[in-house]
Amino acid sequence: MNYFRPGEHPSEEQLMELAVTGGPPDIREHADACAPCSDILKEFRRVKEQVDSVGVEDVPEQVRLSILNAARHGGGAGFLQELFLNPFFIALAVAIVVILLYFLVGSEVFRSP
Amino acid sequence: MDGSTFKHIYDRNARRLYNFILWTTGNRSAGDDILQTVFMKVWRSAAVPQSENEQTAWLYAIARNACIDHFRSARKFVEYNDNIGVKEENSEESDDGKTAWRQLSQLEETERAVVYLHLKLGYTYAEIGRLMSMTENNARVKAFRALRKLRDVLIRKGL
Repeated sequence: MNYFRPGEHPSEEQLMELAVTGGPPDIREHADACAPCSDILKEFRRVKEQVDSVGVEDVPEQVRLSILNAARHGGGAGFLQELFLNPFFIALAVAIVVILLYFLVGSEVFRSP
Repeated sequence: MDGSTFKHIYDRNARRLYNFILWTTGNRSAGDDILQTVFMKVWRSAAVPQSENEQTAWLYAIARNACIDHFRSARKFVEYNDNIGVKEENSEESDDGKTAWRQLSQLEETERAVVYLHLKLGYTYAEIGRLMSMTENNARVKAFRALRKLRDVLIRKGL
């Protein structure tokens, strides 16, 4: 059944979607019966065929080995590494160092004669 | 992250990510470098999303950012290889693939990435939006514009 009124056509985007993924039946039926829409549909189907003709590549073996070996030998993010990279930990460490310096050195410096 | 988890993530995603990077950059050596960068970031990462959907989105975000960094750091024209996705040289099939790949060079990087995700991997626009940090509608528009450009090239060349 054609859901489009006479003179009404699906948009190019709808026809593209029909070519690429298989759209709703009303658009398909309309395109089958309407020459201008059928032409547009054929053009988009040709585009899809072209894109389909580009193959999917495998990851080159040396790249695969390089990644897996680096991971095996490189050492991942351990707890301590993550801790040392954490800005809150860095801020806390700096604060502790400042306080220690104050007690070790500052207290002598600031003591009144 | 332990080695077996990393290998599981690699085995499940590497091929798709590699092709996503190839389609985005259009350059094989950039693809090799960026894939290694992506997985080194994964390996060094302390928090890996647990659910498959989140993990996929996370990986594509890393890959997308690595591609952007690559274009920024290259600061020059990145050569577009004309033999990506060509399985056997000197065959009729390879000629079609080469022609198609050359036509894809007319598209912007993001458009090529969207076409790859939609046509080659079958992702919906909502999924592409999530993977590419754009709205569903934006993904739809990009795919439509890209395929219309390709159609116009075909018509112009009488193919």
